[in-house]
Amino acid sequence: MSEMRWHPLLEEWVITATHRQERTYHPPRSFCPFCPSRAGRAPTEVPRKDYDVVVFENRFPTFRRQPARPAVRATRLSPVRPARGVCEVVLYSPEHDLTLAGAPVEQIYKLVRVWTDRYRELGARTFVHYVLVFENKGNAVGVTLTHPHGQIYAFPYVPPVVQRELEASRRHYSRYRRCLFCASAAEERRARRRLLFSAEGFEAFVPFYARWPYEVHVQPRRHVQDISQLTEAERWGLAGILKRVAQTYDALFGFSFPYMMVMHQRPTDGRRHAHYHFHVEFYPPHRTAEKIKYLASCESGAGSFINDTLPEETAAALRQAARRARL
Amino acid sequence: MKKERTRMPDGRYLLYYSFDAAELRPAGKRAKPRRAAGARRARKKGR
Repeated sequence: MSEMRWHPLLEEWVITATHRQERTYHPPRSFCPFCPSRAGRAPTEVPRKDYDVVVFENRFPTFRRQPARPAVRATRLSPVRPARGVCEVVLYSPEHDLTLAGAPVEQIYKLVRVWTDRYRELGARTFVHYVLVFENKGNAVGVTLTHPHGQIYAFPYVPPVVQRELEASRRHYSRYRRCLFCASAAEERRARRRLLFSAEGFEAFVPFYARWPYEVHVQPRRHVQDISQLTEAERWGLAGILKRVAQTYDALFGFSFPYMMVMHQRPTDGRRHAHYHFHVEFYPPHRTAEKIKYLASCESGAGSFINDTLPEETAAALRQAARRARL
Repeated sequence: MKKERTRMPDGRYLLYYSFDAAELRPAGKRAKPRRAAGARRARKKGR
C-alpha cells in the first residue's frame, strides 16, 4: 500500500509505503537478487548478463504507475492521494563489486546516457513532475543490497528541497538577472579554498554552506537546467568528475566511502524553469573515519543542520586525498 | 545506445541498455593529438 498524506504543518507530502518493510535485507552474496540469473539457482531480477546497464521497475516501489486507492478517507485538513509515479532500479554493471570509483569512466559515461534517457522518458509522462536520480551507497546510509545500483523516483510533484531551490534561484534571478548557481560557482572559483576539481566543463566543490561533512557539489559551468541538455563532451566531463569525486572519497579514509548522491534538475511539470541549474549533490554521512553524522533532533525536529566541520578544512582534506590518490 | 524492453513475469518492465564501442570515444580526445601530430609533421616537411 502506497499513499501520499498531506502534512498540513509543513505543507508537504509524506509517502506511506508499508510493503517496503518486506524488501530484501542484506542477503548473502550468493543470493544477490541483482546479479544475473545462473543455471541451477533461483531466478534473480535480471535473467541476462550481456548488458552494459540495466533498468527495471522496483519490486518494492514507493510510487506505482497504477496505485491502489488510499486506505483512509481524506478530510479537509488531511488530504490523501494515491502515490502515483514510477520507481526504477538502475544496475550499474553485472559485476557485484563495482563502484563508481572503481568503474571505468566509459561505464560511468554509459550511466550518464541511461540517466538522460530515463529523465526524458519518465519526464514525458503527464503524471510525472519530477525525475529524481540518486544513489545510496554503503550500509551507513541504509543500503540493503550491495550490488552497484542507483535508483530513479518519478515523482507526481516537485519534492520540497528542489522546490525551495527553485524558489530561491527564481528570486535571485529576478533581482540580479543572473543564475544563483552560476554566481555561487564563480565565487567558489575565485575563493579556490573549497574547490576540488575543475575540468571538462564541470566543477566539484565543497559548498560554502555545506550541511554534511565532506558534502560535495558537482556542477556544469554552462547554464543548463537538466541532464538532457549536456553536450557529448559534457557527458564525458560529468562521467569523469563523478569518478574523481568517488575516488577522492575512497582515498580520504582508506575505505569505500558511503554517500548519498542526488541529481537536482529541472522539474518535468511543463514549466521552463530557465533560472534553474542542473547539479549533483553528494552527502557522505561520515564526519570522521569512525564517526557518523546522524540527523538528530536539531536536524530532524528543527530543520537546522549542524555541521561539525568547516567546509574550507574538509575541502583541503579532500584535495590532499586526491593528491595521494594521484587524481 | 541500444535499448531493449522486456517484461518480468510479474509484469514489471526491464530495460537492457548496450553500447557500441564506437560510441565510447570521448569526442575530439583521440582525434586531436593525431591531427596535431600530423600538422607538426607537415610543418617540418615544409608543406
